[in-house]
Amino acid sequence: MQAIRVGLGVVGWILLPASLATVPVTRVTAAPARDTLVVATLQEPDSLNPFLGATVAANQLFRLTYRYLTSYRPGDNHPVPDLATSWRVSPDRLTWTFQLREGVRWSDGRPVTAADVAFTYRVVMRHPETVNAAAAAVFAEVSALDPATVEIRTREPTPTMLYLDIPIVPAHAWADRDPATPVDRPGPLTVGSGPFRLTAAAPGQFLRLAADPTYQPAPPRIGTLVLQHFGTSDAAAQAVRKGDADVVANLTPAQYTALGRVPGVTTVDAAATRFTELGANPGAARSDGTPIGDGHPALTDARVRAAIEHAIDRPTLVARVLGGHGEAGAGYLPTADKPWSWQPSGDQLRGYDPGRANQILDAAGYPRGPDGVRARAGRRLDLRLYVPDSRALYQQSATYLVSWLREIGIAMTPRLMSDTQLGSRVLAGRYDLFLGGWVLDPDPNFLLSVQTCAARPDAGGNGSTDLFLCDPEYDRLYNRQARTLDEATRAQLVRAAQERLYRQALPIVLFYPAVLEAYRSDRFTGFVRRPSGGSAAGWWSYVAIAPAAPRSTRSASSSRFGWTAGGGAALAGVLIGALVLRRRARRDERE
Amino acid sequence: MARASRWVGTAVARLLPVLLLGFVLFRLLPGDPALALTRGRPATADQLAATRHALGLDRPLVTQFVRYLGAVLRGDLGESFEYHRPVWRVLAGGLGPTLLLAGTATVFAAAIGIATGARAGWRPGGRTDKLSTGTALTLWATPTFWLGLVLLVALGVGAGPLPGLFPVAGMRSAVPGAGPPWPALDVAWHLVLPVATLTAVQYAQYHLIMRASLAAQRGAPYLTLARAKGLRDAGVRDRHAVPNALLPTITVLLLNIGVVVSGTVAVEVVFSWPGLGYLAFHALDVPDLPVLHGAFLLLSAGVVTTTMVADAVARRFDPRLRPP
Repeated sequence: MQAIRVGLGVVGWILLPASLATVPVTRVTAAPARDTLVVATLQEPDSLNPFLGATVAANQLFRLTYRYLTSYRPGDNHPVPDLATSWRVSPDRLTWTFQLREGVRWSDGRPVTAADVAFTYRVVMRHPETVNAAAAAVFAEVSALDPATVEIRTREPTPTMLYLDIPIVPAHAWADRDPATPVDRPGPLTVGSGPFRLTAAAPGQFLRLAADPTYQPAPPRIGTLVLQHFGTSDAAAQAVRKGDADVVANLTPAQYTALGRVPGVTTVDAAATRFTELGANPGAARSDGTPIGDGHPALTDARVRAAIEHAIDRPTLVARVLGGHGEAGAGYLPTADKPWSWQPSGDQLRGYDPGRANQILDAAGYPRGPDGVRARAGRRLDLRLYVPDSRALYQQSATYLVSWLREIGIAMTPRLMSDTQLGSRVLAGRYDLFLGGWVLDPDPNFLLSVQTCAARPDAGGNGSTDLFLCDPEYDRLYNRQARTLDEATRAQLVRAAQERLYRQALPIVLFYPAVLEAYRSDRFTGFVRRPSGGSAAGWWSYVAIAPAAPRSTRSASSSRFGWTAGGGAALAGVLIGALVLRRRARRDERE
Repeated sequence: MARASRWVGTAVARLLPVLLLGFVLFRLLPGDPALALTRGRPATADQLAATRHALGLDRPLVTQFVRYLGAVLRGDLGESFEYHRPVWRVLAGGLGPTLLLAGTATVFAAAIGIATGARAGWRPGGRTDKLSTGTALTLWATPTFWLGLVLLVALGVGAGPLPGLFPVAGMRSAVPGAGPPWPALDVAWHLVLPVATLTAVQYAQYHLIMRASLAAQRGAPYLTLARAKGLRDAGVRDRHAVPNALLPTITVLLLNIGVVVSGTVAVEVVFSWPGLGYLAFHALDVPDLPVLHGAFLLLSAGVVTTTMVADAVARRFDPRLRPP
């Protein structure tokens, strides 16, 4: 009798949670919409305020939620209309007149007019602490001629006018606000007119955007876009593998290979517009010419730098360090950066030739010492190599460089440090060699400017120079291209400027690393590469992709929770049942 | 009233040198925040100077500290260099998730550690002892980051026949509809793997302390009485020996609460848990000095507070510690 009662109790305890388990499974099978794209990001926007957000992630977000006067054609990064449908320049090249698109509305319903454009640009002009202030430095005046026409007068001709990364904000929302207002949630200060609207923001976790179905010329074909933040690329890659995320960029070669084997995932080896350089100290000085720092005197000699370049086997670096994902480089701007790219011709190129390197150094008067290291006037060619710790490819490249340079008689001591630490040392001139890299904008102006004499630091130590280069001929070419509006002519000048850099063997460009990405092609189609052969994971794709024909849905994850919860509840039920039975059996032992 | 004010006075006196030390140490960090914030973007020398001035970095160190001290006393922790938001808002956003993660993991670690440690300490050198202490120490020695990744792949993504039962990242489901409709349950579901990782690598402390103090209790005369009353062995252990052996474990537990927040960095990074640990770790990159100061201050205040609480609790539970 007792046994039957106990048995019924046990059965009841197990059945109850098991029945509860079926509830979550059936309740939560409503799968999230097929048109929700989840992008796994490794970097968060530092601010949702378009005047403050400076990170790449912020820029990507603003391209989705705001319009700009011009946008970029994916195939070749050529400026194309966005908010402005057409433009013309005055004969003196100082006055630009833009015609704006009609019928555009802010996400709060009010119409977008030229007054908003004028307001936005005036704010940038008046506030040097905003992130885009440098872009508007040559502006003299901005005015709204009528609700659909904006006129911008500049102090000098500037081709950068069509490459401005200044999001247009609503004047009615920002009129009396400080442009440095912190913004971390959707609200009046996140009102934009882009293809998506910001609907939810959880700092450190995710941003959720909803598509604007009235967007012209073509609304996005997905309904919701989620930018989900991940702490490591491993977790992000695993999320794509599992299906919790749809797009991921900046993978390591190992993750790229692993994801390539997952059915339904397409990997992209994107010829990105970025380069890795070996920088040398050519004799650091301030913009007024005062020498600073403690660079090795041998590096002031361009022949020594040329010899160093001859000692580097770039194809090996690409094969071993990048796993083949990249391109050996020599010219300053990568080959993917058309039409600005320039590469040295066959004879000009200083390829891997240790014999030639030794010849050059011997002729330059650096005989080898007893330990094989060259020296002159009692000073050994013993150079410091500063390596940033931000990416593995720098450290891995350094290992190869040290051994190659040893073969031509140059001793190198590598030292690892943070990016900012390296930046401080370089700006103070206290370095010999360093490894670094840049990511390019579609407009080459900024990257060319960092090699001018004026970029060198002032007395206060403020400067944007990359390598303390100061070549009057280069400066001349730079200044001319900065004022040339005709693209073909400008491209010629840009290429000539790069040739000047290469003549001085500064910087020594090692390679153009590819960006490795992956996306779920079983869920979305229509990804666009920008520039052609380039990256697919960016705003230019998200506005163009559409859900693929349904073969697998995301209901898996919700029913997964159902099974987990059900299993957990059943387990808990069994445990509780067992505990209760034990207590009942032991009740004679109570004291 | 007098006691309360003495408490506050002690706490403040302990925090002041911490403030100074933290300030000096973080300013010694190499790296120029103005440079880091504008790196890679078109920035003229004027802009860099303006940024540096806006961040207050162009003044002498002493002036910077005095201004900082005054601001802290007013409750103003400054504005984050990177996020352009008040530091207290940045930290507050991360404090909740970290407390949830660290607190839950501590509770589980203590519970599991006390249970396994009690059984191990009851028969030291026995088979149970060797097995459970060995397991605890192995997990203690396992790198947190590695264990987290293993659990993420095995239980989050699914390996072989095992399906991926748990989410791979975050504290809440980013996509509406994925996961349970009840927010608390959603967070709990996301909490499982991070807590499992943190618990696994931490519970050994409680296990070892419980084991040692219980082993010391074994020969006590009051246990002979308990056995004489007819209690089973497990009853003697759990109802008489363990409560007396619990005191050192409670002290360790309270001390740990103060510092466990700093141990969550690895777990927060692997599971993309939006907590204080990850925030402070990321702030080192810029270096985001106001956030670092604020996090340092917060953690120190936490340790000071929990140390004082641990003192008081120990005195309450153990009459031998009270002043005569």
